[in-house]
Amino acid sequence: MIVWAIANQKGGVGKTTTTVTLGGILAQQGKRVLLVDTDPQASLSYYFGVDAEQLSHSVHDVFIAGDELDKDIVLDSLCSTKLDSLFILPSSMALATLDRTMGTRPGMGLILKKAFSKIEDEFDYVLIDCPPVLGVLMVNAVAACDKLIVPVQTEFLALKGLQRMMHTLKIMSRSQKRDFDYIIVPTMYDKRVNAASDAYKDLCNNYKGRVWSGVIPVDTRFRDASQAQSPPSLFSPKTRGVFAYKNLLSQLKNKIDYVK
Amino acid sequence: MSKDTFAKEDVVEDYLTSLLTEDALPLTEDAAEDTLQLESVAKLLSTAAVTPKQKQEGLAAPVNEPQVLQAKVTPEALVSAKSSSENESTEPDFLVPTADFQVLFFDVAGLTLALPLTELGGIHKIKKVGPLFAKPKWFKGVMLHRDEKLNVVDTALWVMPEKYNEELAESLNYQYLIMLDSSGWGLACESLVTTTTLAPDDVKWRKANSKRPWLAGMVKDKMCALVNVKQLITLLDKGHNSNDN
Repeated sequence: MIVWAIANQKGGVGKTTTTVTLGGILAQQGKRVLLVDTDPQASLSYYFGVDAEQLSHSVHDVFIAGDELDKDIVLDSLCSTKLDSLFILPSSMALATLDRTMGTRPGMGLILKKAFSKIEDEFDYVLIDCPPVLGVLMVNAVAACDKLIVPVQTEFLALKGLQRMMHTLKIMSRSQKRDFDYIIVPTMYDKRVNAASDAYKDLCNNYKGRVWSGVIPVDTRFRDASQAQSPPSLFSPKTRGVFAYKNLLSQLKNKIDYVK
Repeated sequence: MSKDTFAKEDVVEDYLTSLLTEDALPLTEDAAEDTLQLESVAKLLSTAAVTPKQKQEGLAAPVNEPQVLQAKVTPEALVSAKSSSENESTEPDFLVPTADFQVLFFDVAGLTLALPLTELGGIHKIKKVGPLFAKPKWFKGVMLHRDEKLNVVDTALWVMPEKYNEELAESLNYQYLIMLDSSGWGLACESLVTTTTLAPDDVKWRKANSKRPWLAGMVKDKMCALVNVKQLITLLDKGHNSNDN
């Protein structure tokens, strides 16, 4: 089972779109995929029309299970989607209380990792949609993943947010004596806008060797797909946005071509 | 870029360290089971310590089930290189034992390798290995053991890249992961052959500045390579294979 976390401490950079699109493509390729919504805002859950507040189980149950955590608790919390092999572990508003109630307990950053070890035979890929804040939820996602995908909107403020994310990773690496494998993915790129081109150049200059060589373009079909509560690869498989994500996925599975 | 993104970096680091440290958590069932297995295998290995040069039947049967073996042998065997073997004109650039020492023999693609027990970090049954990207081809990926990620080396590809082809790759049946000292690196192997005690003269020690620093020497009796674990770890850390210097 391969685990990717999609994270950035800035909101609105395309984390959920990246999670849903990559997950949808993988599922259409016949992979068993689990999308985990760790953002209390529950954008990923709502994307699929799931209102966690109406459900009896969510990812919150996983976090509060403690020693009782087992495979059933994880599997019982899953929701199905339009694609047979695509499942989601929905979020809940209650997640927002975790930092206050459990954020100081030792080992709380390793709960998702343990949960995934219980279901490693059930899925080929797990994609975690992270909240845009540093806290117990993001730490869990980063600690549990094999690779971190960092979407960055090609605009000035997003680059500032990326600095914080990179700094967080640096501290975690130092704390854990482990290098985290990550890739920066430029998103929402509009070549007609000078500011986007400038931001993209800055991104490439400042993070050489870490930025994916492609870009995810702005594409209104992403919004249309979310309104239809369907993964973009299913809703509009031939759009340029989906094509870009397919290219990204292909490289994630084989060899990544970075900006040099 | 700004130098200090977090004004109170030490506070953030303490917070992250606490979240990712499990010291206060109780021993899980898996861990308890592993500890039991570890003790039983340590007992097995300690038997080898009191029977010099014995030709044991092979470890494959006794270690069928255990997921963790831990060498519990005294480190005194490895001492300074001053009194190395008589057949070297150039002294080796590593520590050569002056007393008898124990080794574990294991097989990979028909090749037998030996590894000093003092530098054996453990033996795990190979489970699911998750591939990583942008890594050398010989890096098979990481294997999760409890909460630890072990780096799995495709030993055949690492040792003999020139002979590694599709046919060989398909014929490989990796069963165990031989952990190198306290590093996160493990050599995948097909079978565990035996442990035995060697005298320094049983090994033809390699000379200094050899093209293959990962080799400590050749076990004369079995004509198999004795691994220089520290050098091997250094090469793996650098992403080199056996042909890189």
